[in-house]
Amino acid sequence: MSFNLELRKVSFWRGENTILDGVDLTLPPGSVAVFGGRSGGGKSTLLELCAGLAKPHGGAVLWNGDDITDMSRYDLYGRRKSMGYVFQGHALIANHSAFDNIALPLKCGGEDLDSDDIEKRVRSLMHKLGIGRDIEKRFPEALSVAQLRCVAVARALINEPALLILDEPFSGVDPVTTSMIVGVLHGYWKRGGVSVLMASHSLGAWPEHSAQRFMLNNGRLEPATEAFAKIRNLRHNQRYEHYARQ
Amino acid sequence: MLKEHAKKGFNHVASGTWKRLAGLWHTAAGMAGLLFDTVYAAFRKGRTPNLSLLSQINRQILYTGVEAFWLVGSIAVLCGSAIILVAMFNMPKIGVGEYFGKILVIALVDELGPFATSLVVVGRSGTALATYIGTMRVSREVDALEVMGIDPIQFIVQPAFVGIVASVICLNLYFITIAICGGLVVAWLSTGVPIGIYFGRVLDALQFKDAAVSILKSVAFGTIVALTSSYYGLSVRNVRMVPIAAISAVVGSMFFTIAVNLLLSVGYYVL
Repeated sequence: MSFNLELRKVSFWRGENTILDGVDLTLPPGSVAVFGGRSGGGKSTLLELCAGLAKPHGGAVLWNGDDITDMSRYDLYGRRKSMGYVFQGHALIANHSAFDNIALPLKCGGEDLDSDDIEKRVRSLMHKLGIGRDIEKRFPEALSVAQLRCVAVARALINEPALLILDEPFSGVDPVTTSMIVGVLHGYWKRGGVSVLMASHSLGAWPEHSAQRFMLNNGRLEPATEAFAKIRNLRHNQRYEHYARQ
Repeated sequence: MLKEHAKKGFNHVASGTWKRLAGLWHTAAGMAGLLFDTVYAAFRKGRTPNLSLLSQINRQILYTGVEAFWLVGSIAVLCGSAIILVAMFNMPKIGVGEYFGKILVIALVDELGPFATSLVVVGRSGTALATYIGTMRVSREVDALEVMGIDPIQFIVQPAFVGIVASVICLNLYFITIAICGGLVVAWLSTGVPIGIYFGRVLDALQFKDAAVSILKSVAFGTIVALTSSYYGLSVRNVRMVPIAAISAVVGSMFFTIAVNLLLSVGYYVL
């Protein structure tokens, strides 16, 4: 299954603050888009709009050509089964163990899997992400940040989604675990047909050169090269002013 | 001057009352919507067969029903004893002493059983449920369920609804049994009434419609507690709203329980 995500002139505001101002983005199947931006600049909001968790105040979000802004929530639930999402704050279910959190999308995916199949798939992914058997029975409050991230990534991948949305998947994670997570995500993406949309402060985290890289600047999504060039061309003292204005 | 102040005060009270009524209407409409969604989620196509709702229902029954056994039992003994004590000493004075069985049935089976158990459940589980769901919202667990394609109503509200309704029914029956037995001890100690006569009077007075009304009230009150708590829990948008949701769940549940109790009593006695 493939997933074509498109944002057309999407705007979003909170009170007086414009968070997103006419954002356009096309993510065809198999492509990768990584975008950065300052903290509080609207990266998470943009991802939430892409997943249909929030409604834009202007413009349209299209999944495989269908506008989701007027879709019923039951339609959204059905279509989201081919989506994997890693939240910035992991958002693991607190009264489920690490194993049960990872298995949850499989249990609810509509596939008629027996418990042995589910266990096999969960354990295979846990092994790839370095989640040991000693961790699987622990509840989220007993896991470290890196372990929480690994479990969240495993939960997003377990259903073999066609669209992966990753919100700061490496923040607070040590370099070794980051490499491991990137390796697993990249390996999954290389199988083909999977679209990846990632918000990260580190635009170079995704290894592939073919990834589109953007910066979210004043509510607009600009190609990263342009955004960087703007800042590079400013004199040293002008840079401070530039950031102060933002 | 005084007239102006009185007018101002009246306007303040009137607008406050209007706001409260509008808020109440809004909550009632929201709860009706949630009830529809909960029932619809149980039957709609595409519901998740592998999802283990049974374990969540069991957990809810454990928290709401089993863990409240001691508290409900204690309250039942105290209430049953108090009612029978009052009845035993006062009813003979007005010449209706032989009707204590009927009084016990009306007071405990029809009214106090379902009402007292629902108040215990409001205090214990209503606040817990509203806080639990509110915390899930703040920590984005509800959003996480949604992006996995899981209906949060099916995953959170439905098990809570089934668990709380089942618990209130069981606690009500348990409350009535314990209260009648507690009353027996007091009756025997205070007036030396024989056990056979005591139970005979109570069983003679107990009719099928009393039991039916009691169970109907349990179902209605359990539904109110589950829906009100879930509704306020799901309304939480930030961490500051979690305690407000807990308070609103208690106040809302109590208000709707009392209002529905009155409606059911009117339906039973008047219509």
